[in-house]
Amino acid sequence: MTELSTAEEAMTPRASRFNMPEWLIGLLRHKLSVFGLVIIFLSVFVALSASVISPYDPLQQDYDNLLNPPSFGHPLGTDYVGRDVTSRLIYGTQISLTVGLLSVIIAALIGVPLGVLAAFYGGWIDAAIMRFIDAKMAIPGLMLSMLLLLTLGGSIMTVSFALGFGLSSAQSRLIRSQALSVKEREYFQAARAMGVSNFKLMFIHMLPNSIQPVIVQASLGVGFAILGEAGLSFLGLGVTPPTPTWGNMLSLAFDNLRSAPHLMYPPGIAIVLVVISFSFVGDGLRDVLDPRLRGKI
Amino acid sequence: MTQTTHQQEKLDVASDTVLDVRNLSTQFRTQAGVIKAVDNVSFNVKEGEVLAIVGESGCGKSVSALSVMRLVPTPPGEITDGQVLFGGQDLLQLRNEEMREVRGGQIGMIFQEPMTSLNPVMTIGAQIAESLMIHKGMSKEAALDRAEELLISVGVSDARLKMDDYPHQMSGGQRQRVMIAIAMSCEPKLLIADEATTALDVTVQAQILELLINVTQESRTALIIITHNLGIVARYANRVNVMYAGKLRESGSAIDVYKKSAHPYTVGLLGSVPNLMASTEGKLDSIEGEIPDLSNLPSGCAFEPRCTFAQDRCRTEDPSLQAVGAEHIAACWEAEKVQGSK
Amino acid sequence: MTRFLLNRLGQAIIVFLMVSAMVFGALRILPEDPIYSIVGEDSEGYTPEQVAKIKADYGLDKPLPVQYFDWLSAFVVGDWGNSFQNGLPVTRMINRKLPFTIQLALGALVIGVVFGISTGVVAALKRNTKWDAIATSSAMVALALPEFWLALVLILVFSVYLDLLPVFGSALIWQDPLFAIQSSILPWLALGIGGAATLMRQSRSSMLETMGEDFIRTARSKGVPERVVIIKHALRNSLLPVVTILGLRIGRIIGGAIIIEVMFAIPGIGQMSVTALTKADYPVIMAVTMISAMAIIVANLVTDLAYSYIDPRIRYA
Repeated sequence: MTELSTAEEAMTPRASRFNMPEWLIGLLRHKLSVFGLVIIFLSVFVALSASVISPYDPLQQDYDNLLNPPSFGHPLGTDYVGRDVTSRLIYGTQISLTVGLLSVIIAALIGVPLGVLAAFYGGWIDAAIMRFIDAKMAIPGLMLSMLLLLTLGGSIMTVSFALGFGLSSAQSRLIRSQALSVKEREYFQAARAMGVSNFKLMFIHMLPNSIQPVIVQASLGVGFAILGEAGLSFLGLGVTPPTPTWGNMLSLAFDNLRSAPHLMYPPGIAIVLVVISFSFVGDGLRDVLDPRLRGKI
Repeated sequence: MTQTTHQQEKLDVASDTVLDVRNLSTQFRTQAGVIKAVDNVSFNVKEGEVLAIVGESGCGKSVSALSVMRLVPTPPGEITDGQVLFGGQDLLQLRNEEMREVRGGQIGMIFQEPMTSLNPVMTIGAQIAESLMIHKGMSKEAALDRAEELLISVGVSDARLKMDDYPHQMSGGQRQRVMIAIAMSCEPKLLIADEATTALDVTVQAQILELLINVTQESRTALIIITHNLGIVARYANRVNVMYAGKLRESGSAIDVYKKSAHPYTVGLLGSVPNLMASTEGKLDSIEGEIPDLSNLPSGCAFEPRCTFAQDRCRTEDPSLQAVGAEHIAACWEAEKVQGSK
Repeated sequence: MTRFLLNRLGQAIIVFLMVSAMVFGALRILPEDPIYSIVGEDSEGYTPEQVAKIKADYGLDKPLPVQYFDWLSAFVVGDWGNSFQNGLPVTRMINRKLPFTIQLALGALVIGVVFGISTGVVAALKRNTKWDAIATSSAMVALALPEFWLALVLILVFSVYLDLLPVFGSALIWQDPLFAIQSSILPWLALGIGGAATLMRQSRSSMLETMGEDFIRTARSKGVPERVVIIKHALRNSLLPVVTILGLRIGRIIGGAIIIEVMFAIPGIGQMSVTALTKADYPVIMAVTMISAMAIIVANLVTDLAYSYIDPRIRYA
């Protein structure tokens, strides 16, 4: 859970740059975003209180109850070694949310400075950074992650890094194009003429004025990362079993598709709900922060 | 338009009248409420005549024109009442297919923005030829040949070369010439130019206006010029309609409207009110105050808040159009005083 | 125009070199020693000298940059090396497996384009009707669906419950057309629907924007029939952002193909790459990555060309 709380802390200073009431009111007017926020708060609650609310130990095997369909004792049934699916789903929420948030933070930490540097310096630095990003994008995301994970091994941190590394390309490109337009504005030119240091120019003047699409993209990125984590777990490359994740639960569901089809619904629906919630919130943020971005992100 | 009014009454329209608009009303339903963009407006235009419809943006002059063409975006817009008599029939009663034949075939229209009014991915030639193929049933080759002649007739140099150009390769003035060629391609009886010169340089404006007058006079095509700039059309227009807040406020021959203005708004447009920023060009900012909120009009005369002649009566009663001279009408309680003040 | 093309081609080559260097370097820090896939699991029986000899045979003892340039100079002349796992020439393995992947990816792409653009355009034209609502909300859900979960649902419904389509086994369309199509429908759908959803959203918003443009009003004022207004005037102008999305989609499809190939036991290069990665089979991994990268780079080039074909403003810029 430590990852989750650091994630929240890291989000706060950025959010406080906005006139809170205004953007929050706008967001709350956006019905789908409200739905998304409710689902996200619910899943955060589930993740935080997993040890309290889950009926069983998610790793506890029970060979008397293998592949049971949903019942009163096991509301979502049991898996092939008799583990309670409800409890595994609840604990899986922790992994998915943590990986989702962490990946996006890592993506921003890698992508944003690269984008700002490229826009600020231009010339060969820009060309080099952009070709590097092109190269990164020329490797299919899943292959890139697989490669990184085989090198680093599977843990929450490494999975998040692998996914965040992939997601950072979009962040770099977005912030670069925004920063390029900031570079042309009078206030930036004025600051530069006054002899403000390059570092301050980039991170005090350029960054805050180009950050909006990054925030929108980050919100959508959480969804992509959760999908990515599930895909990697499904291939056996994610967070190492027996730790329950939605992805490896689906992998087991696939193995037992004919005998226990009920296993595929809980993790699948959980993924869809959470991913769709983040995209609703992202859409809402985009409409509130900058409607002109509609259709571009 | 409902089917109940479909029974066409005898349309007694003078034989040389091309377009006769009667009691036209067009509304827009928005979140702020219903906007009466055009409110009970009547006017007509005769063969070979030049009618100018003048007013600030938002006064309803463009929506009137779009209503005639039935090009008002629906929803949110809706033509709620009136008749648009053209060629012996009410255009508002036509089926969509019949109306489509009128558009471009019998009424041509030119728009304000030459930058965006032409399709960026079609060649100039193809865009002119398209009308000819639709309305004249020409083959592609014949239509392209005719399109080239049309380009020459609107004064585009190197017409043959320009045929294969795309709009972005041309200047604003040239594009507007192309628009005129398209609009005139099927020899329409009526041409509507909606702020056709507004976006152009001043020198080009005059050229395009001359061209419009020339091409329509040659074929005795009726011409409606819609503009916010009374100054530039006064020389060419036979008659002038002044609109404000969706209503016709003054109508008459160009000389009467110009010399014997009977509505304070017309006076303002002409920029000749002594205590205001005088501007012979009749610039918009020469009238103090702002255009009223069309969804929430005052109960009296809509111009009252900006009017230097306003009386108590103007705040409560909206004046209707009254004769103020021969074939000269205006909607103002103080029309005589306004005319006397000149 | 030629300059623009040469410039883009130059960039493509640089990107290609960077990808190869990046992947080549990353492979060398894989924890799995390639020696195990070369000699099999019973490497205990080999003396250190023998291991060193084998490594020297494969050039694995040379400094990394030398290994890279050896690989690159062989790669560009078509010598892609032999698999560490079975000693077969990588080119032969690719020849056998690539057609399956191409068949899968193209089918998914076609589904994405056909479903996506048509529903997007219809949704835009019928804006704010129930059809628009259905199309838009289905696209939202489809975007949040993991490909493999969609595959699971499809398998469950069409293979397990309805018993209409096979789950496993695959054929190439020019060898056994009927079975190829039967066995490909589910993978095509699973891989294609995400693209359809993205393209639907993009073509809807782009079509809506175009239908509000002045030149559409001009076309109507010319008396152009509405059908022609939509197809001839609006669609082509709406395609530019759609093409962008399509170009980006290629990468997603190639990535998604890996999972889909594993699930449906399709013998394509995606499935091959999973095995190769776990066995540190360098030559195979390099080949697969390079093919994917080339596909994506070429897709980007084609996107640029399509831009200039669609939009004369770019062509003459």
